[in-house]
Amino acid sequence: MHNRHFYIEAELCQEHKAMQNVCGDACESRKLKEEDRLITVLSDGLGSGVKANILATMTTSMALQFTAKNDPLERTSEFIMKALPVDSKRQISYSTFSILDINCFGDASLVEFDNPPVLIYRRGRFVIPDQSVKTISRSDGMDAKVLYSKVELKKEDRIIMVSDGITQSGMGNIHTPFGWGIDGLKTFIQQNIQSNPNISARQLARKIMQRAKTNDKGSFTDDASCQVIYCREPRKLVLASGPPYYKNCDKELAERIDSFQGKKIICGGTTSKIISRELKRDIAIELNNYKPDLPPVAEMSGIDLITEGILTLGKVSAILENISNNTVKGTGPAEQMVRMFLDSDSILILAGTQINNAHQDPNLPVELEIRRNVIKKIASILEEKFFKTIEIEYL
Amino acid sequence: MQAKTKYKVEICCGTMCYIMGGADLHLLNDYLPAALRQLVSIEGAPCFGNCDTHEKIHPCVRINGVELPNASTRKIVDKLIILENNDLL
Repeated sequence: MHNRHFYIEAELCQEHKAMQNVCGDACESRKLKEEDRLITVLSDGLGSGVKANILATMTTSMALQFTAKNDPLERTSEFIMKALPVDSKRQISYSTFSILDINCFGDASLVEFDNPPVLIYRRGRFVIPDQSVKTISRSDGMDAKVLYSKVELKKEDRIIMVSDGITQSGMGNIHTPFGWGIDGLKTFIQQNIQSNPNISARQLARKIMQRAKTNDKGSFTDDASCQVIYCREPRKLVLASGPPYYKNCDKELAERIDSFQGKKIICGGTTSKIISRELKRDIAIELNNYKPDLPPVAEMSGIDLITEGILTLGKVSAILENISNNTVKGTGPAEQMVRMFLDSDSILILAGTQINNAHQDPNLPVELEIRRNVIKKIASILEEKFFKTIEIEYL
Repeated sequence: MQAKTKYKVEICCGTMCYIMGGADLHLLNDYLPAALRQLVSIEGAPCFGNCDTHEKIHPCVRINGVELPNASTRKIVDKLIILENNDLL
């Protein structure tokens, strides 16, 4: 998800009630790339287990679809209330929801119904947006109060959406007879961000979850979900691979890398030689850390990683294709590169298009693909699987 | 940084040399005779730029600045022994 003003990181942490197999909360985010929008819906179904899960999942998918199609939020919430099935025991149809819709300008619209309030953290305190209340009459006779608000997000803002499993955790304990409460949660968030101002959305969500679980003595008494959204300066990375087609572009390439703000990777023997020549910096290759599958990494001041070209790129593409969660094991050159990719939000690839004639011999023992194709493949995986913003520039 | 040694072996770490057998050369240190080990320093080097010739010269190695084409562990060790013997004469 990219935004003209900042990058939005959205991470979810969820756990189900002890002794249940399914989580009765549902939370889903969707990134609409064409419109540069992010929609997140968190819903808590009545009760727990499969029935709650169905109610919550229905709510989230309806809310997501309607919001994505730009239906008015009022109509969406009304429709959801009317469409949900009625519980046979309690005679009520019930699921809570919070809908968050962030557009390309960083304006967020919020719709809340019966969930703990959505928290917006900005520079040490919580922002309370102007809310308008609308009452929707429901088929079961109970009127529902739905809260609407709008907020203009700023860089370094964090939005925290939780289900009541978090705020009610620890209920009945001596210190928290009424549960952790929204105030307890607020203090916890403030403390955590103050002690680690760059805490990622993922880390914060996990920390809140762990604390709530401790409140409940290690087994949740209700389904708990925590979605954290963090608007931050994008972490940038540049990858230069391949010599430029025209020799007079060499200097430009070296200068662009040198002046780039962020992490820098050079991939390719000839490319690193060009940059070393243009910037007048030496390359040192360490042989002692010998890994038999790929040529060793090199070092140059000001560059974070220098590797061999096509073989390493091929391995990177294979690793990216196969990993399922965001963790990579190993310390080889390809693994290092993958880790750097995953730790960045926006990646610029400077792809040189000069073809290495030496690699075009069909008698070679190894298949050497054309760099452009491998780079295209890596870019599309990073974009589709890991939601990175990729820009490829051919030189 | 190592102290200056008598023989400096630079191994090309370019793609071509690497797939044409250069990978094995990185273990050169294990094959050096004990007498030579103290005298030789082994370093990696960026591609020498010989790839684009139409002759089979990979993998490339430089010993004290002199290129040794089609290198193998055996060839390098032999060359070093010859150099050392000539020097002793």
